[in-house]
Order: sequence, then C-alpha cells, then structure tokens
Amino acid sequence: MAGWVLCVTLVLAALAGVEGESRYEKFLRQHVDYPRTSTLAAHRYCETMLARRQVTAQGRPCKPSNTFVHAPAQDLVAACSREPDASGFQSTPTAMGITACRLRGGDTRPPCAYRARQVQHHVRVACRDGLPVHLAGTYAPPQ
Amino acid sequence: MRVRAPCVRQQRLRGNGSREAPALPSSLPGRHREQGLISTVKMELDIQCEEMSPSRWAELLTTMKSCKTIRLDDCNLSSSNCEDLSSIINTNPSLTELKLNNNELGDAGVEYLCKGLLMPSCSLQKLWLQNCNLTSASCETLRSVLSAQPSLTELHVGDNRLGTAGVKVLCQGMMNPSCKLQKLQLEYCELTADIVEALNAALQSKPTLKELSLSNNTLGDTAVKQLCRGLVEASCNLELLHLENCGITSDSCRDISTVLSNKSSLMDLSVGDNKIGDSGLALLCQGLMHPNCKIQKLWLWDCDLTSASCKDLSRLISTKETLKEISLIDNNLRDSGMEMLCQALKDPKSKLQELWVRECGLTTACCKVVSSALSTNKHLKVLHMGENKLGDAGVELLCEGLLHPNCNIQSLWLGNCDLTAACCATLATVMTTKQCLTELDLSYNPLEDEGIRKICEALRNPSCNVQQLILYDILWSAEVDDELRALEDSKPEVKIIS
Repeated sequence: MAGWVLCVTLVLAALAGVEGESRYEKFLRQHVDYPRTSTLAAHRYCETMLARRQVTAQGRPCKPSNTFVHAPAQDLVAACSREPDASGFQSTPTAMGITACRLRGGDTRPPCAYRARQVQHHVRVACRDGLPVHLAGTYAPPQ
Repeated sequence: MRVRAPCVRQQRLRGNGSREAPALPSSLPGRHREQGLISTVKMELDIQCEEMSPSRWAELLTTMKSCKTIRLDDCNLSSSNCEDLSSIINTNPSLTELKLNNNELGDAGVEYLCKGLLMPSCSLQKLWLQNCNLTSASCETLRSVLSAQPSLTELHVGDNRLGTAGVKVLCQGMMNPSCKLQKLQLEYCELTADIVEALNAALQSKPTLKELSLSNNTLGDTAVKQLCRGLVEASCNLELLHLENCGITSDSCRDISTVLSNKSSLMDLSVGDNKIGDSGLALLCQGLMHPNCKIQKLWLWDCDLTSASCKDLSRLISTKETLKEISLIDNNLRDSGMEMLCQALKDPKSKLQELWVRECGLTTACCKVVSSALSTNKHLKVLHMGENKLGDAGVELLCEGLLHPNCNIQSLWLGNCDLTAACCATLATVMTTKQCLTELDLSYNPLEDEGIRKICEALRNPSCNVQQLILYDILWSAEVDDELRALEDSKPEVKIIS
C-alpha cells in the first residue's frame, strides 16, 4: 500500500512537469526509480528510463552518465538528517540497489545508447531544506 | 510484476512551420488532455512517451489520416492499435515514414500493420519497429512487404528477438528484385555467425543497399571475415557499416581493411566496442590509408587502443583529407598519444572537423600541445575532451589556443574534467570573444555558485553566441537556479540543459 502511495507521489511529482518543478522533484525525476521499472528488453533499461524521465530527448545532447536509485524516496530524504562529510554531502546509512547508466561511446546526439551496471552502493546526496537536491555519487560498502 | 514508469515527456504536433506545442503529460489513468488540432496537410506527428486513452487515440487517428510522417515512440501501443494503424496506412497515400519504436506490438501487431503495408496504395518509405517485441514469426510478413513494396527504402528492426532464422527469411525478401532497400538496421537481433551466408546472398542482389548495421550481435571473427569478403564481391555501394560489439578482434581487421581499400563508397565505419587493440588498428590503417578509401566518419571507441596506435592515427588524420570525424572515446591514449594526434592536427592537410577523445586518460600535461594545435588548426569544429583530468590549469591552457583567431571551434565538451570556479573567468572570456562557439558542456564539474555566475554573466553578454550550455549534475544554490531560469527567459535562443 505504502509502495503504491509512493508511486503515485512520484507520478504526481513527475507530472508537475519539467516547467516549474522543484529541485527535489527534479532529483526524483532524474535519480529515483522505485520499484525498479522492468523493461521488456533488459539491456534497454537506461534508454527507456532516461527517455521517459525526459533526461534524453530529441534536440537534447545525450547525458553521458546518470544513476537511478531503486529505493523509496523517503530513504534518500532520511539521508539528509545524517552528519555531512567533509565535502558537505550526506550518505545513506545502508547500501541500496542502483543502476549506473553510462553512455556507450558513440554519440552525444540522439539516439542515445547506454550501458547499465547494477550494484549495491551507498548513495551520496547534497541536501537543501532537508531534501536531497543533487546526487553526488555512489560508493561500494567498505569491506 | 511489470511496472510502467510514469512518463514526463513532450508531445509535438508540427505543421510546416515546425512550431512546437508543449503539452502537459497525461499518463494518469482516467485523465487526459484535450489537444487543439492543427489542421494542415503534410503534417508531422511526433509523440514520445504518452499513454493513450481511447478518446485520445481516436483523436490522433483523425490527425494521422493526413500525416506525412508519424512517430509514436513508447506510447504503450499494442496489437489492437495496429489494426487502426493499418487502415491509416491504407487510406493515407502521403504517409512516407512510420516510427513505432518501443511499443509492445508483438508479432500479432506487425501482422496487422503489414496488411496495410502490402496494399498497392501504400508508398511508405521508412519503417521503424525497434524494440517492439517481435520474434522470427514477424519475419515472414515483413518478407512479403520487402518483396512487394519497392517504395520501402529503410527498415529498422533492431532490439527484437528475430534470431538468425528470422533474419534469413528477411534476406529472402531482400533478394526479390522489387526490393529497393537502402538502409537495414539489425542491432541486437540475437544474430549469430550463421546469418552471414544469407546476408551475403542478399547483398549480392541488392545494389541499392547503402547502410547496414549489425551492431550488438555476437558474430565473431569468422563470420565478420566472411561478411567482408561478401561486401567486397557485392556490387552494392555500401556507404555505412556498423559492427559495434560484434565480437571482432584484430583477426578480422585485415579483411575489414580490404573492404576499406575496395569500397570507395564506404564513408562511415564503426567498429567501436570490439577489442581490436593496437595490432588491429595497425591493420585497419592499411585499408584506411589506401587512396581508394574515402572514409569520412570513423568510430573506434572502446577498442583497447593505447598511445601505440596514435602514430598510425596521426598519419591518418594528417593525410586522409576526407576524414571529418573520429571517435577514440574510452581508449587509453594518454598524454603521449594525444600529443601525437595534435601534431597531426597542425598539419594543413588535416581536414578533421570532429575529434572525440572523452575518457582517454588525458591530463593537464597534454593541454599545452592541444592549445598549440587549436591555434593553428582552422577546420576543427567539435572537440570532446570530457572525463579527462585536465583540471583548471589544463583548461586555462586550452583557452589560450581557443582564443586564437585561427581557431573555429563551435562545440566544446569538458564534462567531468575536475574543473572549479577558478577556470570560469577564462572560459567566460572565450564565450564572449569567440562568436563561433555555440555549444559548451561543463557537466559534472564542481563549479559552484561562483563559477556558474561567471558563466551566466558571459551568457548575458550580447557578443556571446553560445546557444546550448550543458550543465548536467552540478550543485548550485536555489538563487543560482532562479538566475539560470531568468537567463533562459531573457535570452530565448539560449538553452541551458541540466
């Protein structure tokens, strides 16, 4: 139930449209996919998601890399109440499923082709007013 | 459980004036948006990522009756929509282009579509069915379309599990003399080495074929060598050949070289994402350097090349006057390799317009030589140097070369180069001095508010011609966010992309 409510929240957040969306909404649009969308062709996860989230589009250069986090938005919001590191970024306490999309070396002109890498990483974010607004990177859990 | 991601996308209904009408998304079930229709003849319908309600679909069908080109990408279409599309194809003689990528049409859907496509009234030229959940079962119907429709010049069926058996059937269709296919795209079709015999037979019979893409099929060296022999024998004047991620090693490179020295028509070759290595590149260069070879676009990204390849590459760049574009992305060329390439760029015979050396292990150390090349070379228009640790010092050096009156760079990509606010003043000077510069990428660099503000100031300057400023994944404050939006409003020709 909570998952469905969250899904609708995300939908509504996404539907605020690219025009006039808040930085938090933009963060969700570009970086949060929960539950992870399953695409018909597994190798097309990145192409499909980046197009649906309007990161890639006709007339826009292909974004060289983009990470999608497969965790509820509230888990990333929770990271904002943690102690910031030396760079002012905050990390999630646990590792979460992510898909790192990297542009395959062809072109920055559409159509954009990507390589997807799925790992369990901690996610580093920058927060403003208690909400994540920027994905600063991810890192593997320390061994 | 399949979850359909919510869509945020644009929809454009363009008349001849190409006016865009941005629309609100309408993917919430039960909610759709009424769109005023532009009634003109010769329209282009272009919709990406939209779930169609039945009334919306009915609306669009009316529009489609007079469209010249239709693109419905990722619109959750299914085989039932194809029945409707089939009658559109049937009753719209001006339809030349139909793109239905990323819809689960399935074999049943294609069956319906082809009914319309087989009608003599149909004069469709370009058909795109990428990632439409087709299997080999679709190939029989597609074969009949290929055999019956001489108007069809382009078929794009990548990202479908057609398999070798399916594509063999397609090849039969191509053999028909009525088939005048020019472009065939078969990326990610689960093809194997066995396909080459049928492909070669089809190529022999098809002098019209100009473009062939087989990327992302595990063909292997034996098959690629066989393909090359077929290409050399064929009377076709192939212009484009894409064999990315086909399991090619240096073993195939002699045969690819033979194609290059035999087919003067070949202008666009990609062997990216194949581990050909320096030895493979050396072999390729034999063909590339041949006087018969008129190569214009060469993609060698992620080919396991090192600085050792740069001697041959330099010779190519400074001798092959037809070479306009070269991609060396994700090869460990390093500063020493880049320095060799720059020497070639200084050669007046070099006509290279686009150089992509993103992620090539370059550092600040090569920037002086690059700068020197930029101050001599007048032809280079596009330079991709992202994902290299150039640093502020490196970019300061680059800017010296960029500012030289000889330099005509239009598009400059410096994403993720360890840049900070410190280099932004100099970048701002370049932006306001070089009227030729229309596109600049500074993504992923921690420029911070200070740096972004300097860039904004430059953008506001009337002598700055930058039309596209790319700033992906840079953290800035809410105030700067507002500033960027205000800037876009005040200068509508400028697009700030983030």
